[in-house]
Amino acid sequence: MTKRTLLVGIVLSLFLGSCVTLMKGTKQLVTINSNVEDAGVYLNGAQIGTTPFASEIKKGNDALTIKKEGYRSHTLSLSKSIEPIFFGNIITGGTLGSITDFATGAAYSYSPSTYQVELYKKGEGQEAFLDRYELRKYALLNMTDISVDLGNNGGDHLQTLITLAELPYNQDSIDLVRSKFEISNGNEITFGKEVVKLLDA
Amino acid sequence: MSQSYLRWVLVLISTFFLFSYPLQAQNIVANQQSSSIDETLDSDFKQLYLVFAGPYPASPSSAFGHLFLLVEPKGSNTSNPQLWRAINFSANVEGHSGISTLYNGLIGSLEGSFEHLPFYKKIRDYSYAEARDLWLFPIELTPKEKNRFANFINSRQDSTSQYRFSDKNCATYISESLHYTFDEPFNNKVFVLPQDILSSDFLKQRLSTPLWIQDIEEQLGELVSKYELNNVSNPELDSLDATEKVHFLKTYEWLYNNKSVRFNADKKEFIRQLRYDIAQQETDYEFNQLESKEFNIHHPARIGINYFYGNNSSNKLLIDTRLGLHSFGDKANTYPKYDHINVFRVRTMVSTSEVMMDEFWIFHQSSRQPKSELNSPLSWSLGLGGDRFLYEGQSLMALGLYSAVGNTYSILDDYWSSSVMLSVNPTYLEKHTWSLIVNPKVENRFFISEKVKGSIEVSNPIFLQSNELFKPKLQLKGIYSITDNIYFKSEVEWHYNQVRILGGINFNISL
Repeated sequence: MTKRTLLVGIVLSLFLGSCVTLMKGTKQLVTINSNVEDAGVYLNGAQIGTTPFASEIKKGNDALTIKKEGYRSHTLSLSKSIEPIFFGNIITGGTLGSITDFATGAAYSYSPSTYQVELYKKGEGQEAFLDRYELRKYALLNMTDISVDLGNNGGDHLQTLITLAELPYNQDSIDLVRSKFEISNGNEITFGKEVVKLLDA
Repeated sequence: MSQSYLRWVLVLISTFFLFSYPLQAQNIVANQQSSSIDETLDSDFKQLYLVFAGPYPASPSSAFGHLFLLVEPKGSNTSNPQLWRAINFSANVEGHSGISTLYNGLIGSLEGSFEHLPFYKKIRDYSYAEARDLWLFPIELTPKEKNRFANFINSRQDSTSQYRFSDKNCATYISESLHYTFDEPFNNKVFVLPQDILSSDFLKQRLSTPLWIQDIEEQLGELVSKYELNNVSNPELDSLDATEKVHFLKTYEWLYNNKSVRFNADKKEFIRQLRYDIAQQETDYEFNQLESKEFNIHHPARIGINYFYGNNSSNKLLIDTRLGLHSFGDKANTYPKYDHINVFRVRTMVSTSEVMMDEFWIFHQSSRQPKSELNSPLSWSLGLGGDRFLYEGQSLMALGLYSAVGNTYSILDDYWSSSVMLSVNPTYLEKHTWSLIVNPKVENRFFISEKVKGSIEVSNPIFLQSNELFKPKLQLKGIYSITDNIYFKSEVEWHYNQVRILGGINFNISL
């Protein structure tokens, strides 16, 4: 009897431990940035904030809607990318493709609960939208290497960024990136009207 | 074998076919949108590479690794590998749920196509997001062959092909394109695996020593260890030189983007200052540099022939067969050192009077990242199959689900690690009934040299219906690798005052 109690205790503690690992509480901190500031964040039809948004949201809420005048509304699906469940992944063969690249139309998660939402401007073509989207994503994910290249006055990452911005890779373009970077004290990289805020700074 | 035993084998095999995706899958990658790439390939390119993305044990679907092609162009972008053209064959899983993908991938109802995308996207996916090494093998081509390759790729634009995990996967279509390039006849096989393509006769004479991009987690892990040793994990900005600032900023960036680590306002300000300072001064530090490195990988199938000696003077032949992946005994620099995946493993004891199954796995995976690694995760293992246990002194097969969690500590760098694991295994015990086996264990693994390694394991299997609580089991293993595909193995086990000794030779063979 004692042994059985001990075994049940071990098993219960193991599985309860696993549950904690998998669920991590009933709320999750969700951070949402978007290409336009002050876009409304809506949950079940009610506005709960504006971008840049950082708040705890009860788990089980699968979708948030991001709205801004002059832009198409975007519904952000949270369930696809938050906390890929460890053993669940194994049994179902894991996530498909990259774990940080959950492109769901116009949003991606560059951290399991941090989202960059790119809203379509009304009337904007898909190609222009995708180019803009890729540029911002590249800047966010490679900010250290871009900073190193700015210090070295050139380099592969800076060249790639400038190429994605469809600018010629020359001193003028490097100076353009550097000037905007310095004006914002290293908080932003800016191309024309496109602003990439680095690390929510 | 009893009828009930056979029945449970059947149940397990059926279960496998329901969840078989992990076992046969190549690295299935959702088709990405190409951007900034003209999809027509000019034959006047500088160099073609065959790229092997190392296995990704965290996801069995990627456990065999992945193959794609990389074209280094002539012209202004040629010195920047980030802008080289990656040509990737991937399945289109848009609109499929996970289960639907499993089923359709298994029966071959998915479609796949070639996509063209800049190489930085593949670096981001593999090196950053999934902590996988990339190996770039230069392929020697004549101008005529470059032309044939471009023609093949261009002819596949806007067309789709059948995708099936086992034989119509990334490796299949990459192999087909290279056969066409070399004007060699192409015959598909029942199983097509990336490591077999890399070592195939038609290709290996054309491949040079690969360039290597080490996964970012490994690179950062080395940095973090260095700074922790020097007690500079909370540095003053002014005390850091330019290279150290890059190291810290790169680490913070990775923790934020890949590990969801949150920073407070002070830390964010510190990061901003680091970033700003770096942009003001020259540094010579660069991540993901391409460097040449020798590559070794073993063949996917294995057969082992061992002599077995038991306590009661029994002499047996022990035959060990495996299809797939990687285990502790194998030698390869492409698999993470502490991660092991076995599939379709059967170990059978043969004597003059009987044939007895000793181990049987449909699937068994373990991941044990040592604690000294950056943000090291939990050690764990998961298996579906059976192992042989001594139950009240009697040797019985226990078939079922084997799961374990614990931690692994690095005691001496890469040379010695110690794992503490607790395993809980709901199983069907041969000749009895269902049983829960709880098995705490401590295992030390020693990597003495590239060729020699060993382990010492102490465990204590406890059966739910038994009154015996303390019955420790000691197991010693020694491995000596002769080549990438041949190794000697010896094993000594002591349990219930019974001793098992085995030793033999194992061969990894191509399919």
